[in-house]
Amino acid sequence: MKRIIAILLALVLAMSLLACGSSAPADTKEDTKKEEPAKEEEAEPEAPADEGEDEGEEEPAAEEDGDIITDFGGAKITVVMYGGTPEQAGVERVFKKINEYFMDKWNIDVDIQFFTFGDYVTNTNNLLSSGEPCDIFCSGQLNFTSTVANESCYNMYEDDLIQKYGKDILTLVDSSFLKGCTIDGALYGIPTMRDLAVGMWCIVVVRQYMEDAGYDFSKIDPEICNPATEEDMTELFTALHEAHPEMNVIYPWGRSLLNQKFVYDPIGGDDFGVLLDPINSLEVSDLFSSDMFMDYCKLMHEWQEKGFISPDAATDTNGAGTQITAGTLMADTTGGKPGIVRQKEVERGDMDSIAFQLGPNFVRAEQASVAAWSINSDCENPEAAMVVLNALYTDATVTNLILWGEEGTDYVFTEDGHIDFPEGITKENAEYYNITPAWALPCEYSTYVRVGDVIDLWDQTIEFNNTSDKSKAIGFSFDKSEYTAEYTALTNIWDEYAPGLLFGISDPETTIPEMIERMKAAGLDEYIEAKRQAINEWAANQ
Amino acid sequence: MKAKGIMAAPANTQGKFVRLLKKMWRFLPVYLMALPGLVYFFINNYMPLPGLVLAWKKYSTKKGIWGSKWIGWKNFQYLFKTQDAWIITRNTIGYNLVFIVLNLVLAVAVAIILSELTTKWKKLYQSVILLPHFLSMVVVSYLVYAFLSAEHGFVNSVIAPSFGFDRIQWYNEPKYWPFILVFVHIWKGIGYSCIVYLSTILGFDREIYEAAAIDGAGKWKQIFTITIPLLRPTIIMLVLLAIGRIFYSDFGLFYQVPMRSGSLMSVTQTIDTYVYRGLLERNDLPASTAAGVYQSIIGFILVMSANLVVRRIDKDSALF
Repeated sequence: MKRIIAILLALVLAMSLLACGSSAPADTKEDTKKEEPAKEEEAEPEAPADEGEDEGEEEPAAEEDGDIITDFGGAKITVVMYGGTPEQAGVERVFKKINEYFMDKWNIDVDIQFFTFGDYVTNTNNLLSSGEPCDIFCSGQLNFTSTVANESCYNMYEDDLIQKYGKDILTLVDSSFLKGCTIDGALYGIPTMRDLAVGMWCIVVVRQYMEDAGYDFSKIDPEICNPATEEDMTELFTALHEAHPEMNVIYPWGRSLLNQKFVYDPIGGDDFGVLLDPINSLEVSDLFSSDMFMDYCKLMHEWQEKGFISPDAATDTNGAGTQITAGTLMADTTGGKPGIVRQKEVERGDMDSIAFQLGPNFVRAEQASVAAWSINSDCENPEAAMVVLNALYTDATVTNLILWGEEGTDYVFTEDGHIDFPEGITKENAEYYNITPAWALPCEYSTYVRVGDVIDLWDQTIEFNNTSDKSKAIGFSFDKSEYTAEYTALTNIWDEYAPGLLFGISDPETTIPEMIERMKAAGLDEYIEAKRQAINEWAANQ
Repeated sequence: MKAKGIMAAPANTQGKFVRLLKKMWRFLPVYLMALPGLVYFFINNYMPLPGLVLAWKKYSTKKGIWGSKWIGWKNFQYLFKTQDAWIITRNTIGYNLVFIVLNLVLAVAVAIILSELTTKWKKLYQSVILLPHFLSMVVVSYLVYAFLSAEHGFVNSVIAPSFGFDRIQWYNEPKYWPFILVFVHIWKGIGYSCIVYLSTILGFDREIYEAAAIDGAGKWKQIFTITIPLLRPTIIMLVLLAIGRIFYSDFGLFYQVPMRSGSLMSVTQTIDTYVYRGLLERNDLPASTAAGVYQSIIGFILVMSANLVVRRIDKDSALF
């Protein structure tokens, strides 16, 4: 008897090791439970007159107009969005307004949840895997292909869902971008409508430090991304470094934003097997053995040795924005686009800034799905969800409520059509301000433009998207489910080397060959070959 | 007892049963005391067990854990595709072995030193040694960072220039980390692990020492011939407990203290951090479950074999 108990105890001991691993997400989950404003289940408001077809029958169930439902009988739809500062006094008030709008128009009970950028992926994943309400979410943030592979996304072509309830989206979104979210003929997401092209290698410097370094501003335009070369930057950084030796000059972001640095297309959403000449060719090659990658790492190494990049960059847990506001950093990198200077200045608490752009404007294949919005495959009422999603893309009332709050209380119009704070309200005492940047909405085109930005910002953005070079592989997606072992192993290796290389701490001459050797042993070639086959097959079906 | 008279045949078993019930009734308070612990164990360690099947499935949030497709051993492949399985196993066991040995030697040494002290500051010393135990690993990681940060760290900006050696990119050089991690672990844990030894030593009969002193035994002689032999059962018990946890790594130490620096992973990645990363950074539920299953199996084998060895050496000290 004693022995059996003892063996059981040993089992318990061994198993408790396992439980440690699996209990890890439990603590993060605590934060996901955002306190929601208690919603009183009031009597359902009647459908507005212009929508109501048949007042005779008081059906609690959905009311149908021929084939199209116009009254959803109070169906509950949860929208999970991401943003900067969701904890604000006015949030409850504004979200109630949004809910009322949807209740009035379609009798849909919309509940919006906001998570910060940092929490979004973990929290939304937890919602999805635990089956808690989450009807509309940004699948692109969670990695579009793997979210689709997990079968979390609803096919919007099923039963003509989007044709019936998402007509406005179909007019708004260019079909070539829609193709980017289509896998095997099924539409799993809608691309976010914002700057889809990226201005490669955009560096934004705080103007004050450039003045300290005696920079000649006559040649540049402070409103746009000024074209520049690596040599120009090295020269400027040397001057900045001399003027402020106690500060770091630049913080080149890590591996997830490598695709903002030079033109290549990380097809399938990873850096293992890429298009090195994506505008002209569908040839899949290895990024890490390319000269482009070596040159980039060498430049970073040079900058590191010259003291431009912090030797602690790889372990710094503060983002570049925080470092700049804290006064320890002079410049960061980003993707260029119309309005980027203003966006950066707002991020930095209104520090005048100058932008340079070292590369061209480019739309990579994945860009269409990188921030795609999807309907949960578990959604109980996909029609209602589609209606809500459609409104989130195209209904100016909804988008402006989310972005700016209520007119009169949170913002007013200026004479030229911009919006601004009402009399007496400032950033400091605003109840609803900067909950999220416009680009984190499903579609920014219908939102009002705030003072400080050019009034035709969205027209410029559309123009920017249309005129940029586009990858030939838009619409291609790679199903890596047969290669998860290789993918995981390669990601682990890349994780290990990326910070050292991209922050210039490791010497690329020795580190890159070492990394490639380990990747090859982990199946890099097989993985690239699989991608090559997939893209050839895809190209043949186009 | 009445029941026994009515039913003759199964009387024996029934009598046993009644006796058992009576016995249990007598020990009811003890069971009640154990109840919260058992409930905790059940919820935390047994309820997640069925979830293990995920390791052999292709997870779909739509179909849930039970509805997902079986795919055999595919989720385990990535572990063995690279050296990952070997590295995390080596790190977990290697560090723990070093921790066990050093902890034992140093904790016993500190306990003896503290017990031999006669100064009035004794309590203060003991508290100071114990203090790091109460610090969160996150705080410890920033203490270490304050010393080792490449740019403003104490070592690089004060010690290195004054002793004339080169600045070191601490967070990019794996070779130093085994020592740093061992040092941090010992520094943090030594005060706590010496408590048991210290209290055992204080419980020893002082007369033995007095007798030895009269016979001319010096301090060293007393330590090696009296204190350590008397400590032996305690030492064996604590070491065994530590071996039982050899496949369980100090998560905070390995995850927080290296500041999640990628270049250090070859020496700082243990099974716990590996599972955690797979789960939170890549959101790969089946793959991290697979790593967890691997950990349980190896851990089980280790505990069983450690116990087997101990039983050979000293049967009374074996766990079972």
